[in-house]
Amino acid sequence: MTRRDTALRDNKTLSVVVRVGASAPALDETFFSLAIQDWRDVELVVVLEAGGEEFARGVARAVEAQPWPDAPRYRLLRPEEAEGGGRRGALLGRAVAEAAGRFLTVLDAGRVVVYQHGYAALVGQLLESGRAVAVGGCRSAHVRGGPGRGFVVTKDDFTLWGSPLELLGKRLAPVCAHVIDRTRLGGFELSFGESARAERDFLARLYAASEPDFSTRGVFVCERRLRAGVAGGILYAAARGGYRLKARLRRVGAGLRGA
Amino acid sequence: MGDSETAAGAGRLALGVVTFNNDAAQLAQLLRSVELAAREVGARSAVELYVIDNGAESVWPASGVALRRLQPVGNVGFGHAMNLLMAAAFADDSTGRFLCVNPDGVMHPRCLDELLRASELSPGALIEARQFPEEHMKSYDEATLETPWASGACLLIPRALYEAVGGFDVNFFMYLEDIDLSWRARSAGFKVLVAPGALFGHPVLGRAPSPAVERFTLTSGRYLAFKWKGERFREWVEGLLIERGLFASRAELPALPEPGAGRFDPSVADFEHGFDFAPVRW
Repeated sequence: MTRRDTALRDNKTLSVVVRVGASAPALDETFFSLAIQDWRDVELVVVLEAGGEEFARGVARAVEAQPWPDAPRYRLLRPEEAEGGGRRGALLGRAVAEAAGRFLTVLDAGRVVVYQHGYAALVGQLLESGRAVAVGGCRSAHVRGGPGRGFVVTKDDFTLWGSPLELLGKRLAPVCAHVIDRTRLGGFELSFGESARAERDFLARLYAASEPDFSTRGVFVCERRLRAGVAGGILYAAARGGYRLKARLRRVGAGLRGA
Repeated sequence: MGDSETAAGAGRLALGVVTFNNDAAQLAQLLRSVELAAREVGARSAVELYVIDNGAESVWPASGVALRRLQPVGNVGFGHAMNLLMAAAFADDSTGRFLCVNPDGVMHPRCLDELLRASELSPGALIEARQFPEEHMKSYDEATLETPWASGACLLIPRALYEAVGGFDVNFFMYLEDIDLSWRARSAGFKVLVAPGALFGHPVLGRAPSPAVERFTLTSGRYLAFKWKGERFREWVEGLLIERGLFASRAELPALPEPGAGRFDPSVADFEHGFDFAPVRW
C-alpha cells in the first residue's frame, strides 16, 4: 500500500471537483450550497474551464465570500495547468489527481446546488455499506430571472429504479448525485473523456466496475437549475412546454371528473 | 396601513435566536454568517443578536456582532421564547426591526442587506428570507412578491407591525405560529412578502419528520384550524392525531385554549391545501 493509499483510507474528507465554465450563471449559489453542507470535512478542487487572471480572481472571491464553517479549503486549477491544452477531460483528470479526499464527487458550478444533507447522506451510506459508489436522487428546478433571486417556477423529481440498468436509454442520474469512495475502487481508472458523452461514459464504466449503492436513491441530494435565456435554455423551454401540456391535461382531467 | 409608513427612523436591526440544545459548531457557523451579512449592511443599520436558551446553555464564540443573552425561563416553546426576545429588543427605542432566525440556519452574505432593502421599500411588511437550496413550494407573486404566509425560519418583523399585531401566539408550542402571525398581519392590512435575494441556508423538506415533529405539527394544526375556523381541516387533523396513535380517541384530545384578542379575518386563512396552507408551485 502506498503512502497516498494509507492517507486516503484514514481520512473522511470529501473532495468536490467543481467545474466552472466561462458562463456559470449562479456561481455564488453553488458555492453557498457547498459552504453549508452538513458534511463539514470538504475540500474543493475548482477546475476553471476558461483562462484569465480576472476570471480566476472572480471565482476565488465567490468561494471566499461564503460563510464556511472554517477557512475554505480549495485550490483553483487553471486550463494551462493540465496536459492536453486545457481540454475538459484532461482538466478533470488533473483535478482528481490533485484531490486529497477519500470521497469524491463532481459538479458544475452555477448550474447545480447541493442540499445541505446531500453529501452527509451519501458519504454516511458509503461508510456504512462499504460500497464504492453511492447515488442519490436529483431534482431539476426551472428558474426564471437572475441568479440569486430567480423565481423557481417548478421542480421535477428524477427517481431512480435502483438498478445498474439505470443507464439504459436516457435514465441517467447526473454525476453530481454520486459520491465515490476512492479506497474501494480497485483498479478503476478515474478518468474522463473529451466527448459530449463523457459524463455518461464515465458513469457507464463506473457502474460496470462497481454496482452503486442505491439505498439512498430516494434521498434528493442535489438540484440542477435550468434557467431561461442561458445555456440549458433549450432544455428549459422544452420542459416548460411539457408542463403546460401536463397542466392542460390535468385541467381536462379535472373537468371530466367534475362532469 | 403599515406599508404607507416611511423608512425614516428604521433604526437598529435586532436578530433573535431561540436555541434548544444546538451544537456549538452549528451556532458558530450561524454567527460567522451573521457577521459577514452585517458587514454587507455596513453603516445602514446596526445589527445586534438577542439569544435565549430553551434547552441547555448555548455556546457562542466571540465575534464582532454584539450579543445579548436573556435569562432562560425553561422550555416554553418557540413562539413564547421569541416573544421574550422581541419584547426586549423593541423595548429599546432604537430598534426598528426584529429578525427571527433559526439556530440551524446559515445566512448568505447578502441576506440582511436584501431583507433591509425589501423592508425599506415596504416598511410595514412582514418579510421572509428565501430558504435555500430547498425552498418552500408555496406560491408567491413574482411581481409584487406577496405570499400567503411567511416562514419564521428567517422572518423580519418591523416595529409598526409588532405594535399593531403583536408577536407570536403563545398557544402554539412549536410550528405553524408563523402562519398564524402572517394571517393576523394580513387581517390587519399588512403585506406579507418574500425577499427572493435574501438566501437563508436551512433545511426545509429534505429530512423526514421525527415523531416529535409530527406531534407538534399536528397539535399546532388543530389549534390553527380552531382559531381560524377551519372546521373540516380540524376534523381531519384530529383524525390524524388518533390514527397516528398520539391520542386514543377524540374524547382524550386536550382542551383547546381560547385564542387571545386580535383581529382574525377567516377569509385570509387557507385550509384547502393541507399543511402547505397555500397553493403550491410544484
